[in-house]
Amino acid sequence: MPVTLVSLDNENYVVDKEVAERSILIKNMLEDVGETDSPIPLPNVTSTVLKKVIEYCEHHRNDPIQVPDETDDPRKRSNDIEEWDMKFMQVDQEMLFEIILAANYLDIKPLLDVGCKTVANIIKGKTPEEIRKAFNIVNDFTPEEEAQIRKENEWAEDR
Amino acid sequence: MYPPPTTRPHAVDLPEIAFNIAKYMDTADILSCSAVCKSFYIAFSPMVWEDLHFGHPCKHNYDQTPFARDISLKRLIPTNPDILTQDDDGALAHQLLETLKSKAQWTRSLSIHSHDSVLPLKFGNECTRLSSITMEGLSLDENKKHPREYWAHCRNIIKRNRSQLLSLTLNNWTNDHRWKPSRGEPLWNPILNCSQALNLRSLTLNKCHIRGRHLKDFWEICTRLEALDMRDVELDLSLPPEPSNKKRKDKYGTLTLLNSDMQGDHPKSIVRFPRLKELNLVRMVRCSSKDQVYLLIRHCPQLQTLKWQGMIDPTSDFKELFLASTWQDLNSVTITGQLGTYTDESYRQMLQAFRKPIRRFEVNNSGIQQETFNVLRTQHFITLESFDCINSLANTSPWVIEVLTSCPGLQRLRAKIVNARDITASKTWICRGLEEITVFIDMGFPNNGSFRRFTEEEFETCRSIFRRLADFKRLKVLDMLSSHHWASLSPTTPLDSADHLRNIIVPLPLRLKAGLDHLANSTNLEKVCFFGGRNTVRMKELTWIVDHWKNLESLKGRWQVVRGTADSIQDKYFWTGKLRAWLKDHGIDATGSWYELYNLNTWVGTNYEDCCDSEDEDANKGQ
Repeated sequence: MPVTLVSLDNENYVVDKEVAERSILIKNMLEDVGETDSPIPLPNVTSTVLKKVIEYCEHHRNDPIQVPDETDDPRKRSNDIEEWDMKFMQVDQEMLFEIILAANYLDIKPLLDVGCKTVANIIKGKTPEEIRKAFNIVNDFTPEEEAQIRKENEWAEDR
Repeated sequence: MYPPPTTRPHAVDLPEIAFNIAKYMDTADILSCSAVCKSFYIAFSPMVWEDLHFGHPCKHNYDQTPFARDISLKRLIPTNPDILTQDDDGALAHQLLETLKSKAQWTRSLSIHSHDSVLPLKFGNECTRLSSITMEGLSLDENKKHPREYWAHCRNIIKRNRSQLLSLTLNNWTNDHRWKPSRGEPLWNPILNCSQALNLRSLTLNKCHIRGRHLKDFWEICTRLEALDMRDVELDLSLPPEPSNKKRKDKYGTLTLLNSDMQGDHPKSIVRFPRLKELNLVRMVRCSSKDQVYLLIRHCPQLQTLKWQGMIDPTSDFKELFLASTWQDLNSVTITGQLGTYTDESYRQMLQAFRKPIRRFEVNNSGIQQETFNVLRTQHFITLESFDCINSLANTSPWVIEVLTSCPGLQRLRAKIVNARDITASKTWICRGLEEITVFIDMGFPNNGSFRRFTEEEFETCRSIFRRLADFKRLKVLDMLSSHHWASLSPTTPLDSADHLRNIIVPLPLRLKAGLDHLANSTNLEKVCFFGGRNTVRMKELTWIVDHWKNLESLKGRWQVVRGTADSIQDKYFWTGKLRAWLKDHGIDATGSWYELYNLNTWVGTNYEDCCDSEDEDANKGQ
């Protein structure tokens, strides 16, 4: 049975239930409501982002559902992104972070993981200044605060 | 509310997202992030101080403790080691302590691996939100180091954190047998302060003595534990946990207690570990395996995972209780050490007695046979994490392929031999989480004398094998050597040549020309064993390995070393000593390798050729 999803800007998207249920949030909603024709409003997601998220869910519709078991599944490496996902994540940064936010809100863990891995890969090996450049962030520390943090971090550096 | 489009990554402001990103980064990256801007500082800085380790650097399991930090006091405060002892009044030490104190609110896990300094203890006294504590023991006999003061600090740390303490690890809390405490100077052990740690779920003891009144507290703690790990621990199991006075005073508990006492006066009616799910026993001191079975393991009705090492033949007692369904939830059993061997029949009998699909059942067994494999296939393939048929005499190559294509959770695979043609014909392998594989890969090339180079087709076969191996992105151990001597004795191999060990069976050569570079992304590899001989690894491969397998710790195999003086050696790197030293410089241990000396003249005289390339390019490199 198809499900209708409504974005923040009132765009309707009709998708298979199986695809929509990649989102644990929607899955739980559907379970609570039962069989329904009424569209599901997603007031936190814009249509451009929702389109992208649906694209991901369509591609991964047949993946086994990840068991949310943090301790038994410690796959915390960022170098194991699938090729399709890697291409999927080749978007501008604004979109990247919006996808992450949407994945977090909609509770799509594999998408959240891929998004976070992509961000981690951008950050890896960079100095604070390079990270600021990469994400267009303004340094809002006072020189004193900066010195303080440098001092603190010196103690925590490995080796 | 949806954040307006902005250039600043607001997503990072959400703690769960910052945490998720940080999981994939190392310390240096998290530190850099915390210095980017205020909101990044708030998001990332706490993670830097979450899990602190003082003392000699310990080996972290990055997967399980992504935020572990080693704090090396000797590195940070190198001026005068005496500053660190007793008073810690040096200016640097003071600065460090002040910084640490200001971060104490973020620290959840504190490990103290050395008692050279009281600084970590002073810091520990500031922490109030620790859920995990590790402490190094200091016994009274080392009187020059103020054990009483040390103990007082330890006691404080535990007292301040015990309400939320989940996990406690004690290392080296022993005392010298020749030494007896004087009256009024009793031995102290952190266990004595844990009877009120009501949330304690996990206890790890390494080289500890538990006796006397400590034992009483130990038994009390055990009633709440879900995980217990003991290595080289000495305790008197035969002293039963006596019903504690507290329970006697409890007016509601009295009746139950009386009932259990009335059940024939034997202490067996007390279940010592009613909640324990995971038990790890390594080399229990002065304790027979029978006692361990009846007084420890038997008392864990909820047990799911058992790891047991260093025992002399525990098998029969364990088997008897196991078949009597003592453990309904058990699904992972690993028993190693000097054991009796289970026959295939009794292995199968136990396999069928598991109430649930199993993850592991690793015991010495004489080699599984077809019927046992069928039981595994029908009942356990979905959950199986470990498959071992290395002792089997059957042709196990099809089993290996079947396991690789059917067991999604497989982590460890051990078999004698797998044929290259079975691999190339195999369907997709689904065990993407495989971490350890021990199997000899028989390339099955015809006419495998020592005088022939691979054809282009044969190279292509080698490459396709490497491509398949590249599927295992989490692979840590690739051992193509250990089972070689079995492989060479397998019934399919003709034994008509004196040289068959070296020449008849062609292994997968660890050579770039044969496709080694397909494993460029296998960066988790820690140990690689290969069969060398004619397929020896060269400098070109070694430099490639050092460049790509950053986590490699051990490389073991057969190397060819040309006999002769330094001048006449074509490839001087492979002169035993140099090779070892070179690898060691790159953090790789070559222990366990062996070196085949050959005399240049005689071998070259018989047209001995390397399988991949007869020209020694390394000779130039080595200049």
